[in-house]
Amino acid sequence: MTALLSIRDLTIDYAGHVQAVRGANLDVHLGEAVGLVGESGSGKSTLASAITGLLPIGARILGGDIAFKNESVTSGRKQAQQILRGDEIAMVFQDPMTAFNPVLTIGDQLVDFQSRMPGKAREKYARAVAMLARVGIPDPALRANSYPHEMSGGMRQRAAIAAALLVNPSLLIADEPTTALDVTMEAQIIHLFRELRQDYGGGILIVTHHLGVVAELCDRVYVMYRGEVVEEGAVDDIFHEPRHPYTRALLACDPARLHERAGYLPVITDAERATFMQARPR
Amino acid sequence: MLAYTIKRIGLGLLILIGVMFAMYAAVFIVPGNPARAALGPRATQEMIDRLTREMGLDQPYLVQVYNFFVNVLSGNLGIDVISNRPVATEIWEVLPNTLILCLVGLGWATLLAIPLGCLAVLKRGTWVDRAASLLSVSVISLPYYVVAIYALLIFAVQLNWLPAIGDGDPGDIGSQIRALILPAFAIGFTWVGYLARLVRASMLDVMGEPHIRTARAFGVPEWKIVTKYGLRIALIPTLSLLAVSLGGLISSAVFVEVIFSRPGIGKLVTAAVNLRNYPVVMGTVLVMTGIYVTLTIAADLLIARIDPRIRDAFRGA
Ligand SMILES: Nc1ncnc2c1ncn2[C@@H]1O[C@H](COP(=O)(O)OP(=O)(O)O)[C@@H](O)[C@H]1O
Ligand SMILES: [Mg+2]
Repeated sequence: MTALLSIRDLTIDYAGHVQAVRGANLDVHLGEAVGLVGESGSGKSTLASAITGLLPIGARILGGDIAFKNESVTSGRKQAQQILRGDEIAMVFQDPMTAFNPVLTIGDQLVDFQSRMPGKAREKYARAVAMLARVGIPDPALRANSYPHEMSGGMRQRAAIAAALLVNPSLLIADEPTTALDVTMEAQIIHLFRELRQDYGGGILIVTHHLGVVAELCDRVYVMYRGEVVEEGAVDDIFHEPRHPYTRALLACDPARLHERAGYLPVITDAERATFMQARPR
Repeated sequence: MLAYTIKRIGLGLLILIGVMFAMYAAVFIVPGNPARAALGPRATQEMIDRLTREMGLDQPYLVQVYNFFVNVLSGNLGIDVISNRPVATEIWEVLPNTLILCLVGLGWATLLAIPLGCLAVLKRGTWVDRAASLLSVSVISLPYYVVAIYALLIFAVQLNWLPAIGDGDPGDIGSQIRALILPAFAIGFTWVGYLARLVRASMLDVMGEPHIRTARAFGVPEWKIVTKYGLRIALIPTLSLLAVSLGGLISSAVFVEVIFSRPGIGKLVTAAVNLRNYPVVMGTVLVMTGIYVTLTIAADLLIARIDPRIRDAFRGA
């Protein structure tokens, strides 16, 4: 099976200081949902935004390669990544509060977001309304005419997912799609993703620090620690038999996996951290 | 929105009333009898007394203010003590001149400053950005009367391209436009720098917001991101600051009208102040404050039109 997305030895730093991503390898295949987990600051977002060339100012790719459908998008022309955006690749961002423009209606933005798609504005608007209905937004015609602040956080995240699905991408990247939501909303969005997977044939890359999201949604998972991918495998395998000590420590901290009520929430201690760096997977 | 508009207009009326109270107080505080000043040094005491009565200056302060407002409500701004013509008529004759001057002056500045500010953001950190910044700062530090005088000396006196004084021949649009160019240039000049800097600063803020990144992630063309996604939001703080600085626009119109000897409210009021022609002073101040208040309200309503969040906040208000 050839990979839809294939990242090899990717290294990225910020203004020569922080090496946010170090020699990372990652593959996403068609029809597959891949999780990228790791604690906050481990370099997940940096890696994800490098795929479409949306790295923040100051970030540089020092080495490695990103290939989409077997063609390198980082070694050739600069536009190679730009033409993927909103066409082959769509993104869902973390914070639905700020992901939409506050002075434009949702419908207006969903039309603009289809700028790579053929069709008249009116057709795109109709498609947007239909997609809002598809992601479970009640009264979609009214909502298309609403401004972001008139919708709840969960509703906006649904709209963001609708935006991504509208361009019918081969790869959907969601960076912390549930992190800004409360638990009920999170469960609903996870449910929505599961449901959407039934008829979406492309690949999905879900970036999260929440292991529950990965367990619910993903087939395979990559674990990142301090800019490195320390472990990779099928979700079931990794959850049952973590090989890297960091993964074990991470799993031990997940409240959902505690079998007994602990007096305190387990954390990764500094002493443990010192061992991760030398550790190689068993 | 309607409630907000009504509230803003009410506030505007309060400002007008307050200003007129202050103006009448000033008449009492400033030494010298306006009637004597109006009649000149050879007037007899009898003549002075009669004019004082006619102008209502023998009445108590509050009664004078009260009479003024009652008259205003019936469209009567009093009688010019020098020319004996109704003040309302005199103002009405020159008001369009001043409005056109302000509008054209601010208009060309805005039309130039917005693209300049956007360009500086698009070419951020390059020589284009630095050149635009340098230009803005140097332009801001030049007062409009200096610009007006130099414009007059260079383009009217030296080069003789444009008329130095007046507002053009009646009925001749071409000459009226040519007479408008230099004064409008002088008024707008500083605003170019001021507005360009405002637009640049707010655009820089906006272009760093996450929703811009979303638009980019969906491949929305960059020109559309700048003009539709960025500029609309950047215009909100720009407009608010603009509304606050509109007083400066009107006072600059006064100076420029005097320098170019251009008929208008500003020229009318300065002449009237020099002659202690109080009815004219009161009338013009009322109208100028009215213009200021109207423009401020217009700016606020425009902001509310652009930003649905503000619109909703008003709906609750
Ligand atoms: N704009 C930036 N400038 C400098 N350093 C950054 C920037 N964004 C992220 N970093 C650093 O890069 C590292 C990885 O960040 P990030 O990719 O956001 O991690 P994650 O998404 O896993 O939380 C962190 O150490 C962070 O401090
Ligand atoms: Mg992140």
